[in-house]
Amino acid sequence: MKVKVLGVEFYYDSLKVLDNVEFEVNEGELVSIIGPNGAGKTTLLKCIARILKPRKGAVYVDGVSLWSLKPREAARIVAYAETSIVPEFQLTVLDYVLTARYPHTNPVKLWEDYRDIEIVEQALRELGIAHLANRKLGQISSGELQRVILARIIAQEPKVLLIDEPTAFLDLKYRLEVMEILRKLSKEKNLTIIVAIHDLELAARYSDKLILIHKGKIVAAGSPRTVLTPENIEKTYGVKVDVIEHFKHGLIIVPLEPL
Amino acid sequence: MKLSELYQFRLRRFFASIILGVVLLVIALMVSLSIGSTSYGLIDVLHAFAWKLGLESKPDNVLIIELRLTRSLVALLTGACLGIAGVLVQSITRNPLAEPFLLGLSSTALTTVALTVLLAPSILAIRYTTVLVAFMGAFIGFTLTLLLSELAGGSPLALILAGIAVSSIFSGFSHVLAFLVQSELRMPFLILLLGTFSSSLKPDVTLLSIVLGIGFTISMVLAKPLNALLYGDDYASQLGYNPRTIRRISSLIASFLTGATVAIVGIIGFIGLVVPHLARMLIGGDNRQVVPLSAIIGGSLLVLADVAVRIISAYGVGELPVSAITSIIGAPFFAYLLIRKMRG
Repeated sequence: MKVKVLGVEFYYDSLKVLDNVEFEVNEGELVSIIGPNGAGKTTLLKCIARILKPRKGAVYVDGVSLWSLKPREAARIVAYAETSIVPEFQLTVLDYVLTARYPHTNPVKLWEDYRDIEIVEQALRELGIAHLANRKLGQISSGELQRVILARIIAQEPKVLLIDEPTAFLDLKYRLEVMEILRKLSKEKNLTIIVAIHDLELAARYSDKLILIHKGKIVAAGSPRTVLTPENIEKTYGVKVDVIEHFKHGLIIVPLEPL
Repeated sequence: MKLSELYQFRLRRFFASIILGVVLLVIALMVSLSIGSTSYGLIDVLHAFAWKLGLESKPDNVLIIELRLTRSLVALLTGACLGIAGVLVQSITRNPLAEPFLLGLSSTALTTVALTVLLAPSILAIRYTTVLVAFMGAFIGFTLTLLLSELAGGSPLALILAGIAVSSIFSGFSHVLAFLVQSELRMPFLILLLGTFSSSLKPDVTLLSIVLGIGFTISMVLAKPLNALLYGDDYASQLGYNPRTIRRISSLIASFLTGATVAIVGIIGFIGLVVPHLARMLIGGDNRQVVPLSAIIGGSLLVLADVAVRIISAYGVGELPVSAITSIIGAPFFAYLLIRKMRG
């Protein structure tokens, strides 16, 4: 589904966090939102996810405003994945991933039916973590937890996936793996995926489009090569860099000195 | 193992735990019916039941057993109410240390009841209105604790300390008030503060059954939203729930359940803390299973606590408050949870 963000403004109390943010993401595209700490990446994702209500502007999915839908309907279209979850009360991987089926089942129906279990199983298999189903959330590694979070968002069967820092806390191999999975999802299942991410090289390598925001405003948007210029990075991150093109894969960003 | 098998296993484990819980509950009830100032054998208890079912002629000890049955049923229902209230309070605060008594719901409930005795005693002539008054008190207490905890930064520890502050203030108030009203209620001061089943009446059973019925039903409907809320407010809202609404309804129900037990029995601490953890140890953290199992475990535990009360009371003068027993069992458990939580 096509996501259209139109003139979104958001305030925490009187502090303006997002200022007239506008962009479009097409079906099957993987788009990364980048920008320094406090730029408003997470807030933007939450505004699209219908968790935060923008003061001005709107988010349309295939021409329908998300805020005009019932919450449960919206939860079947867009899903948001947090960076991490706090494990408490002996909850297991299965407990967590099962909650993804709640928007799809009748609120007064107590238990999931066979189909829900199959969808959850499929999602766990896709990420290679079916063997973790009965493990407690507090007892798995952060790499595993990240994949559990992805399995949950897949089991929710949304059309638009919004993921905050999918590669945080992960080592090199898991970072690549997670991004490969996301790209595969966007291309094979034709899902629209928007991630907020700190790792510029990963973002450049896997995204169809980058959106660079700074102080709540879009500074640049487009293909990785047009967005990740030394000037743009210097202006937003306050760091002098060299951007080198790798002969095979993406861009290499060499930080020179902070300004 | 296939996932569907794991899911089936979890459901089977749940139903097995429920059956086991019910068996324990029945045994606890039987023991409770036979123990007291005069002890009866299990045979006498069964005879009394046989008479109730119209199978036998009336045995001579039946009155005492009936009286004990009322008392035990009140204990059972109170335990069930507090067990469920514990699950609700722990889920919405996401804090395994939370509990209605520790978060100040009980002492504020008692304060409002005692205050009403002083100011408008006629309101309390009807038990139903007493429950309502206590319910409002408990809700005020919970709201105050949540506000205070928010002001103190909202950490898990801040919540518990805010609860201790609120419950201390209002236990102070309720001590003063209970002291003043003890002559009007014709109940000893200490018993009013610490809870007892010795004055239980048949209408209490009806009233608590209604309270439990309402509380249990709504809690089961809330079980799924509460599961979602365990992973955070944002998580719940991206699943289509309104975290504020879930929290509001849950705190109302927790206050209703706690308030009713305070109005009818008095303050009983730690049941709401221990019981949900016992349930989770058996069947894991899914609230759809934790709520019903906590009701059964809470009922059994409090019936057994009342048995202990009666055994100990036989060696003293008057009646030991049941809260003495629940604190002795519950507070060390709280200490254990505290250490586990703070060490991560």
